[in-house]
Amino acid sequence: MKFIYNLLKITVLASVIVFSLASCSNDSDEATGDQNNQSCLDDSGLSEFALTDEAKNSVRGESIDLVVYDAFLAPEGAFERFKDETGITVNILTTADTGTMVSQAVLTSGNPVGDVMFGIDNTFLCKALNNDVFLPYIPSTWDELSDSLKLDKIGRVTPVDYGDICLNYWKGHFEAPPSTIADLTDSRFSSEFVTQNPETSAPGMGFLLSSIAVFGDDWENFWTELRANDVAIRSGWSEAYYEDFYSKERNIVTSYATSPVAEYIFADPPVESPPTAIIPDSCFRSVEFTGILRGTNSPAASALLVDFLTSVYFQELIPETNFVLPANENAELPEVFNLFLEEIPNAVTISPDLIDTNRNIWTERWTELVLR
Amino acid sequence: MKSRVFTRSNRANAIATLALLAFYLIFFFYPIGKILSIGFSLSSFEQTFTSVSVRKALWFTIWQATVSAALSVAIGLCISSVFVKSEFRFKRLLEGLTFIPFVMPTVVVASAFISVNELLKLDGTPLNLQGSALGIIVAHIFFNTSIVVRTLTSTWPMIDFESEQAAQTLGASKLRIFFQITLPQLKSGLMSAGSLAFLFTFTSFGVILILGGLGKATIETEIWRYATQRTEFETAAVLGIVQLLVVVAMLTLNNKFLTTDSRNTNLRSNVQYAHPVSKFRKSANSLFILMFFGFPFLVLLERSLSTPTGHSFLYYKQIFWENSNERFAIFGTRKAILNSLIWGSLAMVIATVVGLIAAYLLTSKSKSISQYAGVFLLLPLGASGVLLGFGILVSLNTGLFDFRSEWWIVPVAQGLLGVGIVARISSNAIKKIDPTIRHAASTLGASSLLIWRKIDYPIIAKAVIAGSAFSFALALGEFGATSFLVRPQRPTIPTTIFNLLGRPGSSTFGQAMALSVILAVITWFVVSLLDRSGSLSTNDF
Repeated sequence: MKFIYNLLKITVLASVIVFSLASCSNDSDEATGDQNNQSCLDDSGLSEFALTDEAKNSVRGESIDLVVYDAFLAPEGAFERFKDETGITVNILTTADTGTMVSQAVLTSGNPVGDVMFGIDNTFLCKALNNDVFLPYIPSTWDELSDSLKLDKIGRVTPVDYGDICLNYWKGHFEAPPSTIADLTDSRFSSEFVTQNPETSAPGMGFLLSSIAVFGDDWENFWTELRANDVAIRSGWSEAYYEDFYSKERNIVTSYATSPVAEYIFADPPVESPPTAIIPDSCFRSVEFTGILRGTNSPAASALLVDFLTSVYFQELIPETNFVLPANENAELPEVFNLFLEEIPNAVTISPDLIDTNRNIWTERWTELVLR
Repeated sequence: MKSRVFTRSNRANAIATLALLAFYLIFFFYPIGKILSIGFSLSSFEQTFTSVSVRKALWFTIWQATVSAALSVAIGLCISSVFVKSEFRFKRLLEGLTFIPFVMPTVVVASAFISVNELLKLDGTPLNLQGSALGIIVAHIFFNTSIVVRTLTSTWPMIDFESEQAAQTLGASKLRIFFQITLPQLKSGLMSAGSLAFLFTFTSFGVILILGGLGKATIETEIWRYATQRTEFETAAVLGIVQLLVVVAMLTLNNKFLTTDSRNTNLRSNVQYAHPVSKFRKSANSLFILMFFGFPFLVLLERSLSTPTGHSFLYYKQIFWENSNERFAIFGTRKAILNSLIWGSLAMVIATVVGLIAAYLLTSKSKSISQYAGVFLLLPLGASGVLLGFGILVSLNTGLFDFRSEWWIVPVAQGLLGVGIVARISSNAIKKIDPTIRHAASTLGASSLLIWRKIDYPIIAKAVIAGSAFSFALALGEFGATSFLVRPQRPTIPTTIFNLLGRPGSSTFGQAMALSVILAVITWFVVSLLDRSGSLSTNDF
């Protein structure tokens, strides 16, 4: 009895401490996210940052932080070159996955942890825009960037790269590989397909969105049939790719259009051509953006960094380090990409707005249909 | 237990108390309190608990934690009884093997289990370990049996064997002796280990996410999902509050049984046990340990050596001589190993210094205070990593406390995990020092510094090394709060494994496996250091 009494005492004490600590801090920056009916891509009324020549010259010696997701690899020497050109030091700050990075930015909106963000994608874009995470800025490179990737016309975010989430398969395993995603429900491909949970994996989300873009309201039927055809679901890309796909237990996997190129580059011993190929139908286009975090103390230096990240020089470096494609149309692809990257003529997409409003509904429904 | 010596340095004592309180308030209670405060409203509680998926997650968390903890205790009991009652070849090695899983990084263990699943072709059978409750429970037993074994192998030799023998003489059956005499005496050890096992299985994150997928959600993975993927901080905070209350309850339970027991310190040796362990049980025990604890590591090792052209050390060569092939240089594997060692050491130093201060305060305060203090010190181990990480971002961001993007916040957060353990192991050792020796020395005119150096230091040094080594291992494979901080991009072994696993290519995968083995070996090395000295101190955690 005494023990239970003690337990109660401790619990009460703990709650009191937590409560009082919490209530003495009123400078809360938590943005609540106003869910009006208007689109997140509408003009937010934030005034645009204009980079003057005067400001450009005064940033020498400044040091700014670039916030990235954990899988981002900085091309060697790139930021050293930026420092040589501008006198600005760039520190790279890592967070976890894209979702976590965006949540952190929403939580700290207006008082950000860094100055520029790299890598927010179209599936999370509206969460950030609804919470005024970014400071609008039109970089000097704006006209060189592919128009179809400029989802936010007022420059709160600037497209920096894109990649297509596509089905990959082992060459030579199938006499006739599937040619559309609808083929996956065919009994010929029973127990052959492995994909990822959309709530824990970006490619998993991409494939779910592909199915929604292709089948519309029928997407639920598609997944019911996929389940009947023994689809395997893994929580992350690496489990699906390395465990199921690599062991050839399953010969079709959700991955990226650039995966076969990486297979070629990292093959050991070297190979003549990639052992895997993509199914170019219904790939989901994922666009990654960069933007100045609102509340930064160094908007001018940050603006120069956004210019740099979208410049031809940097854009030509990222394919081989991060296996994404440049947003800058003047940037040339490395030789191996030209050799082995398959064209995706008709990648599908869904507007960031629609994704944002329905994401939780779709994933909840998906979980019920496929996992439970 | 009060020690008069310390009243002399009351001021130092007060400063130490303040420093410790400040450390915990700034780096733990304030950040976690601020993020949890988002959920402090009736409506958010109502909204959270009416959600079907949240209720399912609550139920799954409770039952899987109960089953996992109960089975860990049962299996730990079987293993310990063999360890305690008999001597055999390779006993220390096997003891070490049961302990290693506890400090292994979750990522490594989960991928080892996935490969076992694949190797034994369990997918599709009722024994499937991936995406099933079974897999989660098996992995939890793998992690937590070691706590039970460690606690029991130190408390079991202290029980009253005479009554066992008396009962045997009077003709009681083996089972009856065990249930009526042995088990009641082991109660405190079982309760303290069981409550810790429950705590760890209740708050487990990596295992559930990797092995369970989100088909099997728990409170901690729901917190992660709501906070990071859905940006619904209210729900996450409510769940965080619920989790923290359970953690406090478990730690209190654990502490209660721990403190009552630490008085009994007479280690016995050469006891005649009522029923010696049969040869069959010894071999069965060894076989089980090798299979259950050794096999996943063997599979991991095999995969790190398996290249498209047969088995070789190719991937290890690539890791250490990365420049031999330019395209691997981007991952900086050697640098990652070095960084891990440096950061782990920093976290260790922080945990050790703060933990030692705490240990001295724990031993010089009254019992009830030290009981509460013990609970608070260990709280970071059970708090939600996502919420602590986010809490630091929204709280340590202004004025004097603008720490959130300092490089040292990472080792501090990692060190925080180890403080409670260092404090506990060390204070147990300090409590064992006979106070009369100190009094004698003090009467003879020895300064408190001299007393510390000649009496306290030799006794607690070993305990402190054990605690530090443990906090080093914790920091090395940490997969909690610091993953949710914004931190300088500096590759460590776990982040590099993650990065290598994040891109296609047979050699990147092989390197990830080889790095996992290297991480396991480093951890094993550190743990064997811990075990050598740890065997001296009883009832560690």
